[in-house]
Amino acid sequence: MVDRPFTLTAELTYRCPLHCAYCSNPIVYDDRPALDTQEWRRVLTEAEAIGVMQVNLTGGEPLLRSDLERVIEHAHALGLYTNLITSGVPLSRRRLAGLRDSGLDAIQLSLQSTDVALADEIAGLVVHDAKLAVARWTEELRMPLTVNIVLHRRNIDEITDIIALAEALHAERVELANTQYLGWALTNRQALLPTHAQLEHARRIASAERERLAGRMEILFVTPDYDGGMPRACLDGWGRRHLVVSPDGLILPCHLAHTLPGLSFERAGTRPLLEIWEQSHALNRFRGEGWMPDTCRTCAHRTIDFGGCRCQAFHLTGRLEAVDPACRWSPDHHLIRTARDAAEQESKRPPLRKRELHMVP
Amino acid sequence: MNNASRPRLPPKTRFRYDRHRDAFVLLWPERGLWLNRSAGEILKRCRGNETLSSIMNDLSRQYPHTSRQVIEEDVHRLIDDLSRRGLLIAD
Repeated sequence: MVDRPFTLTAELTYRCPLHCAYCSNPIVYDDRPALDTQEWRRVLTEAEAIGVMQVNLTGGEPLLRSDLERVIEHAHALGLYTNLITSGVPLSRRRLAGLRDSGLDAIQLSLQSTDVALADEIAGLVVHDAKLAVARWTEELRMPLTVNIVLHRRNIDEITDIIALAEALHAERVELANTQYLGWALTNRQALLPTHAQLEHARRIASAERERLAGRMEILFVTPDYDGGMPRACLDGWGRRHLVVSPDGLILPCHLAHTLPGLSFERAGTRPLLEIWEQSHALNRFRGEGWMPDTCRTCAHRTIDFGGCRCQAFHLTGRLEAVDPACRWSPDHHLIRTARDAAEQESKRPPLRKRELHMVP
Repeated sequence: MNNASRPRLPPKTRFRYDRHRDAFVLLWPERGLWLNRSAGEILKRCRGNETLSSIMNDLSRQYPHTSRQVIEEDVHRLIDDLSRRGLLIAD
């Protein structure tokens, strides 16, 4: 029996005006046309009908779609909780009010740093002040705000200031997300990996601040899997609760699964979504425990991490069924240890490379 | 929190019925919390216009076979728990 999905992540476009060095989207895309408004509305209708309650509208930058309002209106009419995950660029106060009036429930705004120069360097574009303006508009327009910041060695020491900034912006949530070293971020890994001491410091502050702000602001600290010897329960397990639809309509378990070789994901609209969700060979490939290597199948943690991240396992080892190297019991764990050891040495740090976009659909 | 406070849900949350799982659910960004029947009945009334004592009176009327003490304990436990997690405002 396959669980029904709870969350739909709708990647409305891969296009993005920013060039964040930590971007974990695929590096190269297939040059297929993106879904149009009608097709997205149909995806939403079908997703709601099979049990989805939440939709994350993301990308790339979803604001680049001029039909975003119409997609939100449809999600809202279906009763879905609708969350816009955005860089806040390009956006006017007027359009933001329009998004609210279309039925948007919440907005998650990314910031790169509390320091304007560093923020703009990481984003590869002068955008920090524009983002702060967006955050202030959300308050004026009474829109629930989550501040999201991807953490890495260049900004992780600012954690106290980041939380203070989120508080000053009256965010209801702050998401401190350690970089996931996939996609473009993997090419920048040695420039981005923080030291163990930096992570420990961040963890301590996040937990003390969570205590101090309990009931007022929710603090999420997305655990860095490079540090703890435990793999991430990537999206609560492959094809369990999350349904991701790529800009060109592929039905995926996560935003990178189509970068894995030999898996053929089906497109929305080719047959009923429930059939795809339950029967797609690619979605069934890593469901449950049958596919697991012995290390995982006999491990007590298999119901906690579901065998870790398949994309990380493949992109680091070249083998689809490998134990996620983030796991201390992985025979490939040295790949993580070597990267981590290098991160402790300042002299080995390469420069940050700005995200480039290739083959935009 | 006291019996005169008027508990309400914070803006980031949405409370609704989930027909697929036949339960009330509290939604907020990237999260969901399914509620058992009594918790659902309590949250239904947390709209910021009713005091805690009026909510408890109302529940007592609706569930005449449940003792007042059990209802009060249920209500306080749920409201404490959700307030601590920032999912309810009861000031």
